Amino acid sequence: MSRAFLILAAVAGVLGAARPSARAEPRVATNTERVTALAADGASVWAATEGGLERYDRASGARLRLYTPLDGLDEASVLDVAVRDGAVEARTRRARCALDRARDAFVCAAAPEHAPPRPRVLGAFEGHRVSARLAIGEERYVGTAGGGLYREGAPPRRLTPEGQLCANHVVDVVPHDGRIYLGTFDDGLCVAEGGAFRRVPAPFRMVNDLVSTPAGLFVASSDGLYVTRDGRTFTRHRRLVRATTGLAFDGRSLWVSTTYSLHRLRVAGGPPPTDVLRPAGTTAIQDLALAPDGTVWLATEDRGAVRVRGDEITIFDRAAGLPSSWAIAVDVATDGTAYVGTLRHGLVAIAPDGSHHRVPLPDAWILGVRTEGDGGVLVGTQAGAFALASNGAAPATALGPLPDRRVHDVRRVDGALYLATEGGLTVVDAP
Amino acid sequence: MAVAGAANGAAAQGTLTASVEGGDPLRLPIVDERLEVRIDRQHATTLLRQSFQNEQGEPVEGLYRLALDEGSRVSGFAYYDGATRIVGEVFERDEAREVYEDVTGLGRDPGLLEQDGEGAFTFRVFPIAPGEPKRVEVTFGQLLAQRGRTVEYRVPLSGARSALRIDLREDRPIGAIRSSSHELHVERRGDRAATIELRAPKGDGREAVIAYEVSEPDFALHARVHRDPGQDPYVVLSMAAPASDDEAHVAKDVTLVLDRSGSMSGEPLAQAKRAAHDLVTRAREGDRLNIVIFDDGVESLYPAPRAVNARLRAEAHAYLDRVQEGGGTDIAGAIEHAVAAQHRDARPHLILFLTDGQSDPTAALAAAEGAGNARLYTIGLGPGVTRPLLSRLASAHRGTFTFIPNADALTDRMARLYDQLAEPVLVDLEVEGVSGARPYGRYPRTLPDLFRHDETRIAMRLLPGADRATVRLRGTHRGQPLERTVTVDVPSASDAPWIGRTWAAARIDELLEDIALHGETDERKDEVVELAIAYSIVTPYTSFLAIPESELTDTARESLARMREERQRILAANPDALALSRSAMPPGDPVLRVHAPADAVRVTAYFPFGLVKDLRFDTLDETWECRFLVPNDVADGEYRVRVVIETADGTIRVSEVPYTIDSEEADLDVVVEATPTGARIRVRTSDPARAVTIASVRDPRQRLDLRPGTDGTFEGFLPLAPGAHALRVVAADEARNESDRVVDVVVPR
Repeated sequence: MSRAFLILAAVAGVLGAARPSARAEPRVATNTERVTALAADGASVWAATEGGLERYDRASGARLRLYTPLDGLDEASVLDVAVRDGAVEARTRRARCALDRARDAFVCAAAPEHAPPRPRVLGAFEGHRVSARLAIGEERYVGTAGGGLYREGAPPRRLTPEGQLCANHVVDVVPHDGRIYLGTFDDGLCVAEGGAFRRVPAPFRMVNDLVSTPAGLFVASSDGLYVTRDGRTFTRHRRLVRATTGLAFDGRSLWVSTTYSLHRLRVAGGPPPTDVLRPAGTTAIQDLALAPDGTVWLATEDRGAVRVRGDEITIFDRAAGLPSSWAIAVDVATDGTAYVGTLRHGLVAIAPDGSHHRVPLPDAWILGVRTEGDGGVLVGTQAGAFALASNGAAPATALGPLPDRRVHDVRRVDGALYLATEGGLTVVDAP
Repeated sequence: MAVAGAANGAAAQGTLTASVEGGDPLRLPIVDERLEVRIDRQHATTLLRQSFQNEQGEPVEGLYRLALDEGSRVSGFAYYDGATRIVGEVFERDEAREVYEDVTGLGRDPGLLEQDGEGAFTFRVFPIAPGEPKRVEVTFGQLLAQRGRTVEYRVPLSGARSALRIDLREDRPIGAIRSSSHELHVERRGDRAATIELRAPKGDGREAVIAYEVSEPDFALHARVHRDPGQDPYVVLSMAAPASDDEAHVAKDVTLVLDRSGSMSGEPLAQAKRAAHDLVTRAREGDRLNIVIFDDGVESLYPAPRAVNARLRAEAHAYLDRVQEGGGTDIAGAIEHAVAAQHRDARPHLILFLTDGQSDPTAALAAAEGAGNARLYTIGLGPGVTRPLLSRLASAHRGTFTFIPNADALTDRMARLYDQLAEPVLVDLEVEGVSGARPYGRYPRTLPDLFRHDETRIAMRLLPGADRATVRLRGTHRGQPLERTVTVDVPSASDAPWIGRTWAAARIDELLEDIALHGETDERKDEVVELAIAYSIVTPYTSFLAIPESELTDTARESLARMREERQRILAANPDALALSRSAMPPGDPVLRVHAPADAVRVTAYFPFGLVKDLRFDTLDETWECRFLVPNDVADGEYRVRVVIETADGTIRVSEVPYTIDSEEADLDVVVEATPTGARIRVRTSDPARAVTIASVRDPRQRLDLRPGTDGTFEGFLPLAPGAHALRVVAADEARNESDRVVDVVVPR
């Protein structure tokens, strides 16, 4: 058994731990440390969290159950919970969900948008902002934003399980040094390790891209470019200290984009470093990809897709006939076709000769694009994740289930499919 | 960025020239000039009043030019329309220009004082009637240089009849007060205050130089504090190199890097060579010296610095004599060469880099990365210089940036700089809070060494919550550690706004550097504008607009009212203003930044679509921030994020920041005019556009980004071959919503 397989098996253990009944595949991991509301139901305490609805045993304090979209909720983020006449109702942003006790699952119905929470100051508990309180007789429960659920006492006891996914909003998944690293939107780096997820102490928070190289794991963050060789200590690049947005490794050089520049850095004996300032005049680069022939593709907010072939720079934007100049993601297939995801005008395929066409997808709001070795394309959108077959003839296949419909990265690692969403992570093992 | 770097030379010079049809501009004579100066603990605020006379027989348009020296900041502007004083207000530059353009040509023009290059400010005035005296007032501030125990104030004058009066207040006993330029009348008020008036000039009266002695121990550390009610205090720390420090020569390597590019041709290059000759003459035995000359290529006198002796001096003088003007300016190449040519030993390595040009900042910064422990001193000559790059190069390598507005001051300033650098007094400086209120937001970020005749200045802010603060400055003096501490009482309020302005100016410099080096972003630009408006500072993004109420059109009156309302909002909100990286956006991923104390207990944002986020303090930007995503199903409209700030002292503040969700495309109005060589295109959009691009449908590589005009239109010329063409015109609004139109044009054969 390979080392990578062992690690994946460990991750699967964590993902499956939330459910009492062993369901083989797929598995959803979320973070429930941000509590939004509390309610009591006889022997149970219900905690609405941004990672699902939790049920705790009052007597032992153990978490009995985590309900996610796998259990009927329309999304993992639960804004409120109430128990009325024994009926448990969870409220998400756009649905009311009632617990069907017989199936131990929720049934949701559309509802008017939930009123946004009003600013309130409830103080702090164990260093975290208090977001909800519940008193049952002498028992006092405190829900926090970041620390999870506590039962007051001397000392207070944290009830929220350890080893959870570090943050719900995952933007990137990358295998490195036998482990799976997850980049998060604003909670830094997370690693699957020893049967649990662990937050990696790091000097950055907002991760934009990750790439694994023999010289270490590189992190493009809003605070600059970082590299770690041991997974514990990080070194920031001396020059690239501001928003780095995209990374690609060609085997010798690391390609890095900032919002306004493109850099080639020597990593493994590559050619001398080069810098391109404002390629094609852009100041808003979002993503970076490399074609097999070394061509660099940039996704930009203001110039669409930009192709850099040596000194030749070509712009593919609305003026050039693309549906939009706001590109958000790009990846290149082995045949040189660039797949460009636009903010809200769908996915566009650009052939090496510059001809282009729009690829039909159920949703036009693209968040992430990954090409696969067999010519297939995995796409994350605001309304789910989809797989496109290599020949492009078959309609897109929806992937899931998802803890949140907004999917930022879809990646296959050793056959297992990782779906990184704004509300948690789904792993679908290889058939 | 420097903290209002030492004002070594003359501070400011104002001239008014008149446009004359078919002739060279005429310099209008100054018929009256009065300067009122207040020196408060080494900071001088100068009110310069000048009256110019139109001696032509017809109305003329005047162009007022003000050249400020490094470290001087314009903080006030007014002119007179007859007997009426029109006072300038700082506004966002484009808005001010819009109002200015709206009113121009209707009779009496408004005044618009804008930054026009490094240290240069211009102001147009029309009409100046025949015989009419035109009165102009400009206020500028500068931190005066202290050399040893001498503080000096210098200012250019129009002539012998100029009147100057100084109100001097110090927190140290004032000793002798003297002037090398004028007889003085001094009236002392105790041992720490005096009134000084100029009397007869000793020379041509073209410059006033007044110096005063202060009494203080060696290495005295001073802390001047200011606080606006309810805001975090500001502190300016200073320490002058002692006058009595014995000359202890330290053997060192000096590499002089000279720009000989085309822009240096004529007097600048001649002066630069003169300064270099002077430096070669001054070079001390025991030091090593090298000279690097660059344009778009680089060459040097030696492969590495060599010992100073008679032979080196002869070779260096001969080498300099051969230098002639060249081509472009490759700053990166020159730095790379100078850095690579350093010896690898423990001696101090100083690189003096002189240029008047502009270059790729990324490449230049990258080239300086290998500088190791070498100190990089940059000297910018003339208004065309890229101050942000030179300033960042120096600050990143423990050097300083010196701006010299005119070539004729070059030899003197270079000599003074070289003399300073000859004797390092305190090196490897660090500053830290010891107890009480903790400092933050320190400028400069890295501290340069302290040399003889030099002074260290640091601007910073203090976190609230303590009535006192103790700060320590540490360094190495002749190989031994040396440290000084100073304890300051933190007032609830004070009346020394120059201290706050000094900090704000340093922060603005850093932001302008970031913009120049890393690109303009909405949040950087917005912060510059807000700080500049709040502290009345003219920047590339802000101007002084002085406009007579009687000349306002309805449109201008409305615009001005809106601008004043916005200004009031900024003044009320600053410095705890909130900023969104995009205020107008389709659903996307902006960043919310909040200026709140670093030790605030919590800063929480409540978004109208249900998201609640706790912000985190970013030590790099020194703001609380979070990024967030707006769901794509949020309808277009105006929204507000509410932010709750829980401060360390238990105070809770709630602020709001508005933003707009906009997914509507703008309408386009396109006018195309075919010419024998292409198409002239003019585009007007229904909503303000951020960019308009036109491209050939058949070959999109034939494209053009249209230029914005002053009236909200975009225009440009696209060269095309004769024949029929289809052109796609795309306009993007502030939220990057795009609309397009395909237009046909036939270019005649």
